Amino acid sequence: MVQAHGRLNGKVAVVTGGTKGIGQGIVLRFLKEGAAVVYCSRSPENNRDNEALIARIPGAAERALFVAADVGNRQQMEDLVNGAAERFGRLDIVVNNAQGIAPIRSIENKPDADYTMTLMTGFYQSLWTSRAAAPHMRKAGGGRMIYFSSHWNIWGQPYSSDYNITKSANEALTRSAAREFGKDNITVNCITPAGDSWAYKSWADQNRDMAEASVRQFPMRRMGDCEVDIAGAVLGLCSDNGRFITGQVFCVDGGVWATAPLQMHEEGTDIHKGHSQTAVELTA
Amino acid sequence: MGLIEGQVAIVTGAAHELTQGIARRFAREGAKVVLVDRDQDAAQAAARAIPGTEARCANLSDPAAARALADAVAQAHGRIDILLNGAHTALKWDRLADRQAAPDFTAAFNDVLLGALNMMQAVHPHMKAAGGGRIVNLGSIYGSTANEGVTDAVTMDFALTGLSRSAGVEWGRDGILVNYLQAAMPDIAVFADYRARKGKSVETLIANTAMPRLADPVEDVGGAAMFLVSDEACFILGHRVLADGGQHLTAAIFEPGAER
Repeated sequence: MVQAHGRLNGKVAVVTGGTKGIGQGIVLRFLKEGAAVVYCSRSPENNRDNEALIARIPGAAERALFVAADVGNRQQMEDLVNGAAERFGRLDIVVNNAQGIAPIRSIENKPDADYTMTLMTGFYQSLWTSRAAAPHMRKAGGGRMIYFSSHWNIWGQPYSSDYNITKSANEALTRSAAREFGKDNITVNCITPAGDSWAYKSWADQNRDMAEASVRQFPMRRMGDCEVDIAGAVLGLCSDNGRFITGQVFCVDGGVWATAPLQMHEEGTDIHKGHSQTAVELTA
Repeated sequence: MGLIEGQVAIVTGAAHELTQGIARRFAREGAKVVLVDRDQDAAQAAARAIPGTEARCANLSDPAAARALADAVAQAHGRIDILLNGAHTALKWDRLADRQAAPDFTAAFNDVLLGALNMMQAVHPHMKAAGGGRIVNLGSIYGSTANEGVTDAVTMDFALTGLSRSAGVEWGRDGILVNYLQAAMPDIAVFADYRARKGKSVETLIANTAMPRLADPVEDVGGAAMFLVSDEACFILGHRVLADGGQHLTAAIFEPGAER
């Protein structure tokens, strides 16, 4: 259960990949805090869960707008951002949550196309949306940009080098964008989440022993809840409390960043097994 | 309703203007704030100036005094939700190489590191029994960078970093989240005095900072502290938060040598 305090009343936010997992948690939390939220996924079919959940939040339906868009497509990302500003009259927040994930493969076996797809749906997504959002945020007197990194990147998770490189690029962009946009009162920060996301659940379902051992290494002995824990931190950075916090990477992970992690994947692990969605639909 | 309505917060180092700004923010968000300092007059003056606060005097470098304080607050208010260790090192601008003997870290060690450690241990049983709590150790940007002539501040800030990380990892299972907050260039009297003497270097530094202004103790640093003690940072521990408008990404250009 989360408590609403109107922390985003009057604000307009864009969240990429907002139909499940962490992105969904952020969309719901932002709506409860009073923001108008424009969010995307590739297919309208993915939005069915959200429609029901949003209908239960008083007054949220008219502030929520789903857009079918591919985060690897520049034009669609620019249209998403500009469309949000047009529809709701301003733009204050962009959260770049979505990320395409290619099959788990060693560097020697991973095709170049995996690196291209991962960078386009991760790093380029952040770049395109930030470029498009900056003029709107300047006009609004300031703004918040949130990118996503990953523990896989911190620890050099084997067989995910494309993903890790993309997350490193997001962290680098965090620092550069923070310094370029700071004078316009725009903060830029990056999140390294450990959430009970769709991707995590999918993996944990297939690897129960390893999942249990992994959680024992968390100082808080649990994974984060998408809406309470992960979205809570994103909310804080996007609210007035985060107004002088910029250029930083935050591990929202119950402290596991400070301890030694277990190896989670073997080459060939199919983290999408048992699910019909394709890789690009995954959120970090 | 405030973000920490009805909660009880202990704020140490209450003689410091920056710490008072955070205390003011906590009180504004609905907490009952207990201001603590070794200097009784300073603590009482702060409590008179900030609605929703009360003053207590204690020398927290003594573990027994810290325990007695925590027990007394828990007794009086029924709970301890938040501890902000707000004592920080007064900059002396001494260069290591200028000294014949080892520098004297006693004051910084006692007030900053031991005071924080003693208070953390003193509130731990109360927070654990209540199912959790938040602890914020306030340091400066010298916990992330370094500069000439401020060895004691840099050393204590890095020690505070280690203490916060270790306690964070140990106490996470108790729901007690320990983090550290580093501020830079606060808009307070001590910094205004420095700026008056070293205007050019301060202006250059401000101009080169991502968000080119001083930090407001209540809105900027207090806001970052609220992030850490509210429902927002409920899954973050052992972590650094800089309330500095991005100054940690900018090279330090103070000229401490001229301070001697």
